[in-house]
Amino acid sequence: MNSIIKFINQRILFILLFLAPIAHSADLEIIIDKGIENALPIAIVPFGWSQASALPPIDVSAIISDDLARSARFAPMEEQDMPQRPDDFAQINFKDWQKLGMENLVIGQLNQTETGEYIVDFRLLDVYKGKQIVGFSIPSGKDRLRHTAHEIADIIYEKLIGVRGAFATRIAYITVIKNRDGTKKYTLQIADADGFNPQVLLQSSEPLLSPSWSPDGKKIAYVSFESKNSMVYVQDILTGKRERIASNPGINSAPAWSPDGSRLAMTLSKDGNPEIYVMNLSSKSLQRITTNSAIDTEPAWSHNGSMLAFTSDRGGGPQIYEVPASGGEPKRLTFVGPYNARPRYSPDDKYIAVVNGESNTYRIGVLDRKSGQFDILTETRLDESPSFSPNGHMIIYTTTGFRGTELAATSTDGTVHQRLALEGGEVREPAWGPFMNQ
Amino acid sequence: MELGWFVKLRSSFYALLLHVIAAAMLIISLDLSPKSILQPKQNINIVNAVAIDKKQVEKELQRLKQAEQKKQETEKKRLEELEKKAKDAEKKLADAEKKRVEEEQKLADTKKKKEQEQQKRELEEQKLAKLEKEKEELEKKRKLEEEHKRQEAADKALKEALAAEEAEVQSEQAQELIDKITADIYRSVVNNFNKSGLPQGLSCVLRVQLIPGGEVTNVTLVESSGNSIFDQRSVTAVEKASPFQTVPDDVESFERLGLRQITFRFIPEE
Repeated sequence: MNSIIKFINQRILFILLFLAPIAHSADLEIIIDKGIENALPIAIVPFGWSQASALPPIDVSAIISDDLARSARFAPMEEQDMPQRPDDFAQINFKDWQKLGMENLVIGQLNQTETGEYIVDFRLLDVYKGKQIVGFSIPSGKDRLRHTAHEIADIIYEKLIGVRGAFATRIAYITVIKNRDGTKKYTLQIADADGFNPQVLLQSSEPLLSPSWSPDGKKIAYVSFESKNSMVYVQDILTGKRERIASNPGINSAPAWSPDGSRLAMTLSKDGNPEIYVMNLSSKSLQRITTNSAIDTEPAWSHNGSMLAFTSDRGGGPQIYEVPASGGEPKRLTFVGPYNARPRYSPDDKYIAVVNGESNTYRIGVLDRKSGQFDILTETRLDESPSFSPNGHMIIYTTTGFRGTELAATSTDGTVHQRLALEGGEVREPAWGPFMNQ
Repeated sequence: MELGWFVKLRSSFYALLLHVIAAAMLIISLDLSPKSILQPKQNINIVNAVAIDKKQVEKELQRLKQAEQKKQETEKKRLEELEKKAKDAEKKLADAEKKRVEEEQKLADTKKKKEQEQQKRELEEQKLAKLEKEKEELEKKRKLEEEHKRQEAADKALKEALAAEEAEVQSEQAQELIDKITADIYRSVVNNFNKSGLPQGLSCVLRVQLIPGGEVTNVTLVESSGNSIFDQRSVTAVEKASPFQTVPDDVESFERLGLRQITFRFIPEE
């Protein structure tokens, strides 16, 4: 009996001895169950410039850097902190960048061709691998150089964040300037997402309201009081051609495009009190969506096209309701605070941004449609008109302070807020346009 | 018959001898008279002798001779007795002396013997003491050796215990070290794993090669999360955390701790 055990023991020992090195060679496994949530470090090295005798028309790297910084997802390195300024792959000393904890490096060159065109070369590099992640050579023109820079920022954003960047997009907004004689000048403008390249679409001495982008980004619907009564117009951005869409008695306001661009939801009071209607743009036929003695206004179209959210005071105060775009029984969505208005769906339809008001303080709030969780994103006192960036990572809105009403932006998680300085006075109702080349 | 003549001859000889002795005695007795205390009597006898018949004389002589003989014999006897007495006394004395001497001798002997015995005893005692001493020394030696052995055994046991303890401590230390290194690696990777903006519910597995000193030489994605950004952030976290400061420089410890290859499972909690 003992000898058997001994034998077995020896066998086991032998097996153990035999297995020991194998068992030992089994990897140490470390489970990483946590992480940090920091802006990604990135260095956009000043781009090389082919014409040494002249200054480059724009600072491409600065535009890229500003874009990425504004997104709050990146922490671009200050130029003076850079250990070197290579504009060519062969010049890069990756170790120097690694020492600084720099994860990604962007280098590039701006070249002017003999015909006066521009070519922007850029490479996004993984500093720790010492390899290129992506690189492009983008033909551009003098007037498109900023746009090209934004496109490069978009590519970097998508490569490192995993979501398409929204830098090469535009925003529409209304500016209001008080004239010396007391009258006001209303201007409908569009500009690059960073506020540059403003372009006037329409000016009026009467109020202009509620600019809304067509899904293809080629048209803007808006409300104009130019005829003393509110009317809904659709204007082609490129040609400037405008079409009056709704000019019913009473209120014609708050146009919102269906995702397919074929319909426009709006508020009309032609039947007594403000109600939500959907107009077929080709036939101009109207479908009434709401029937309620209270005010129903500010419709927003979900991006999947199935739902309409709107503001209604049918419950006593203004709250957000949702109704099928084909009509049906509205359902109340907001319950936090006495005032919730101006709904906007996030591009993925998971969230609805609203203006949340309480005791004369208005802030931007976000409702999680699935869980009903409601979060306030902003901290200022008079924040209005939220609009999602097309990638859903940012919300643009207006905030009113001692300097008047300004454009501001916040990350969707509310961690970063910034003012977008725009020339031209008071800014109202910003609307972030769609991706340009979907 | 043949002995008969010898007996006759011997008897004749005896008779002759006796006559010779008697004549001699007479002469001696005459010769000795002046000196004898019985001298007057002798004088008388001489006078009488002249007148006496030879036979008579002879008879007288015989008688005298006999008396004298008797007297001499008595004297002799007395003398002999005295002598004997003296002799006895002397002998007694001698005997006593002898006895004394003997006793003395005996005493001396006894003493000597005693002394010898004492000596012997002492010797034996000495011997015994020596033996005892030797024994003691032996015992001492033995004890010393025993002590030494015991000490050695204790030392050995201690050494073994220490070695075992050391081994245990070493293994414990190795475990502690591994724990420490693991904790350090975990911390530095977590601090470099930027999950900002990443979708939730993803995980990936990396196989990472290290060299002594903790430098990462290779990172292989062995299990993708399906999200290239998540995978890349995980890889970057490891690369950025390199070198792991607590990974030993010396190859032996490095190999013993099995740090050449580490598997990282990135599975951030929501």
